[in-house]
Amino acid sequence: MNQPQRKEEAVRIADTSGDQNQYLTFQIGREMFAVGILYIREIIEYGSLTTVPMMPEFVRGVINLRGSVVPVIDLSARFGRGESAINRRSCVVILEVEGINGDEEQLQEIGVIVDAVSEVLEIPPGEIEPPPSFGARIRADFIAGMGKVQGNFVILLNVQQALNTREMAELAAIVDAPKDARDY
Amino acid sequence: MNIELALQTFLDESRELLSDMEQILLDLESQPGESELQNALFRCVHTVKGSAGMFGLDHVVDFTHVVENVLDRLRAGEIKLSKALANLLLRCRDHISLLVEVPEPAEAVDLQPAGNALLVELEPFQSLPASGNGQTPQPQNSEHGKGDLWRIGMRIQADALRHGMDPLGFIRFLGTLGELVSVNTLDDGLPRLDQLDPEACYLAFEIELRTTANRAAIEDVFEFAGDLYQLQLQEPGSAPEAVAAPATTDMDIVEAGSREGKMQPADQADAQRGRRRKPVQHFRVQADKLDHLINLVGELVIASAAVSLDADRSGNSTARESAANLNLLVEEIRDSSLDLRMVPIGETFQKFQRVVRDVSSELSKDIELVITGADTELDKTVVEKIGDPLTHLVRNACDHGIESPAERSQKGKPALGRVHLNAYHESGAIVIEVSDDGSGLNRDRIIAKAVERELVRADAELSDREAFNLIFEPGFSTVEQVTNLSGRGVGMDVVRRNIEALRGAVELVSPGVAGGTTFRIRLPLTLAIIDGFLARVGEATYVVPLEMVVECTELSAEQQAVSNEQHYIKLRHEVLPLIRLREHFSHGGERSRRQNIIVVRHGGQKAGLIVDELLGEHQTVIKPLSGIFSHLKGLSGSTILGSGQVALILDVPALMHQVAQHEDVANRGIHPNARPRLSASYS
Amino acid sequence: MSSALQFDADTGCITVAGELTIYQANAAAESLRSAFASGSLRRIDLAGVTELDTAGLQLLLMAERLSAHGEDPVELVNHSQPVREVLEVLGVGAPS
Repeated sequence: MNQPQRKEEAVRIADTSGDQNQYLTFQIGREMFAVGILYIREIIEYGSLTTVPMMPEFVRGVINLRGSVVPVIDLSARFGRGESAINRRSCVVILEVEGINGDEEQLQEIGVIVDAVSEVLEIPPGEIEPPPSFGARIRADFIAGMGKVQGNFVILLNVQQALNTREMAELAAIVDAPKDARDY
Repeated sequence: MNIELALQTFLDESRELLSDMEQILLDLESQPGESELQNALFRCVHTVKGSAGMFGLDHVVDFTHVVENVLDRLRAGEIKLSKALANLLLRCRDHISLLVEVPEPAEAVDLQPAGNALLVELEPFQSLPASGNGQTPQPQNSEHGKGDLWRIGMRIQADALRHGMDPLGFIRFLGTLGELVSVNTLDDGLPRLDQLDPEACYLAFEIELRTTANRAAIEDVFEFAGDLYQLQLQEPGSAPEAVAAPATTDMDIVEAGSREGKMQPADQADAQRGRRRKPVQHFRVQADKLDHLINLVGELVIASAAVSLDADRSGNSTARESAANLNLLVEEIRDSSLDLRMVPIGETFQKFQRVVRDVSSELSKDIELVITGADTELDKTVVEKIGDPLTHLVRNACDHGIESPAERSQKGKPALGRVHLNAYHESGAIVIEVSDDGSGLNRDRIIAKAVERELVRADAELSDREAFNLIFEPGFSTVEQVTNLSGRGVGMDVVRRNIEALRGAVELVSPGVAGGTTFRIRLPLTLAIIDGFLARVGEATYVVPLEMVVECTELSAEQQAVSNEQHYIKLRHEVLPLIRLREHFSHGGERSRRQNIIVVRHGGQKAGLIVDELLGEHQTVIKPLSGIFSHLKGLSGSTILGSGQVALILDVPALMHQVAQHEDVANRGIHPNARPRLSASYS
Repeated sequence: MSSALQFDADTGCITVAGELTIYQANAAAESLRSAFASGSLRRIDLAGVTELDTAGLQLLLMAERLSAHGEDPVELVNHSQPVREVLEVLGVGAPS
């Protein structure tokens, strides 16, 4: 039982050791974003989504990912820019982040909706600037840095913060409250 | 190297032994002088000491050695188990259980003062003044030169050292059972230096041990080495040649195995002869392996549902038949694998003997704990989580339920109060009851307090049931109100939340089963699988736990018209409050022309869920929802349908609770301030 | 916590300092191999051994056996108290 698992792990570590500077870039609205590929598990087509009632706009629903039920977050809504309109190129990028599950912190898969996936790029640390203190129209703590790619800036997402499960759960609780008091 | 794993085994075993020890001490109070129990008590401590010695946990050895001495005198009848000594030994047990959790002797300094204090208390019970304060553990020399001569052949798997099972430790420990007359180290298995795997074990041993211990005691030494050690135990008095012959051939096996660099399969006949002592054979399985298996079975259930669906659609009768056969088998596999995780609740109940004992002496009350239904089984994962809420309820029963001795005698009740733990199965659930024979709840006092805390309006009309269950509301009990004992940070609202997190429910009945109050907890037998009823609302599919479904029916046109105006209908002379799922969950879209109703029952109340379409029964594997949904009310989890779609499982108690609250607010004047707090109880 | 096997090619002596247990077994076996391969190994000084387990013992038994094949026997000398204790328990001929 243990042997093959360990091997797999070893392979993964070996494979990814050179990937520190690799980023997956994608589009949300008209802006380019990037996420370190070490967070990326897979990219799947948008579809077969089950909406979960009484959740804030940015929680789009849940999908069946090979037997696991994985939440799907609408990043555009999370950034306060309104719901993503689904188009032919819309994808769900599955990321792995630290999150709460019950009382425990553990790695969790979360899907995010993006308007289009672009490519995997190498962005060396020297090409990354600190996040701007204002003007990005996105909460500063969601931004890990600004990467320079061919003269343009891409926003490097702070995945752990943008997909902070604890915070999202608390936001969901607030959204829920007024509906709960609705008259019957 | 797997010394970590060996240590873990040591910890598990020690915890088990120490919990046995506690139980035995409590049993001995009711059956003083029972020699079987006294022997068992000694063995517990003896084994912990020996195993600790093998890991070099001197801090454990030093302390347990003294306790062991005292227990040795106890079983020899030299001292008696007074109440004071029992108390002292229980505290020693607690101390040992702290000690074993400390991995290095050096890190145990913090525990030293407490340990020394106990050692001083143990002093009068100690045997020989020569053994001093017990700082240096000695082998039990008392048994030197006595007993029978055993010949022990010890074959060791190549991997043993890597697992932290060093034969030296075992041999030293054997020495504590009596006298090591001779040890013969067989090094014929050693390969050439260039072929040596320095972490593999190549040695075998032949040992002559003179001891009064019996076969079981000797085998116990090797108890947790598992299959890594194979023993040849030569009964005293039989011919010595018999050992030597197999030992040499066995050596070849070990040697060959280690040269190949892999473990030979254990000689099963030998292993079983050595280990099988109980009529029912158990073996240890890592819990996560079992959980993994059950997850896989869950996948299998889903996959087989998909197969049935496809077969049905194909119209191919052979395929349909095969799918049906497959389904039957999968169901059996599911049941048997879930059964693997079922454990009797008795072990959990037994822990409360100590709780009741400690609490009653703290409160200067005389309370006995009665246990029934200990054989009732439920899922291990549920058992693990029920301990805390139960502890709270038991403490509460002792503290608030049972009256003071003076009060009891005034009422003509026996001075001995009684707390009763009971468990039984009822329609696919386990029911656990915590009852006391105290004076029961005072309805008026509860209402007065709830009004004071602004949980209800003073003019609210409440049934007894509603009034009593106010104590589960957040904010009902506060630290200033409760005594030191039950006020340890949690209130009844936390108890309820913990139980509801397990898809269970708790209610309070007074007068209860034994006169006073009864807390009745209802829990699902397993958290893994649920029999559900599927219903469609708009484009979404919801699952209603089947055990809560009373009936399903289409709403007549007349009922539909009525239900559009009000929040209830009359169903067979009963008034049934309605929950319109479409509106409740804010699904957009039009209602379908025909509406259906699912009548659900929970905690003696009924409600009707209005849905668009009834889709029938479906057995589903529960998939937990991400932490993002932790505050979500009215939904308890999710499941995957045969089609691959995710369906959400309705949390019927929470739904009904929410609706009841709105009704209370609307009709009966529960204080509006209470609302945020009430809803918080479901977060 | 660790041990070191120092081989002095001039005197042909390995001195062991610290623990000689399964944690050091691989490194110790390596040192033993190279010392033996040099052809000048004569003695192993055990005065500095603070702990010995079965893995360590196997190495010592192995080293003693080397002497039977080599031209000059390899000697185990200056047994420390922990070494003596193990040899006594196992009856593997502790030096008197």
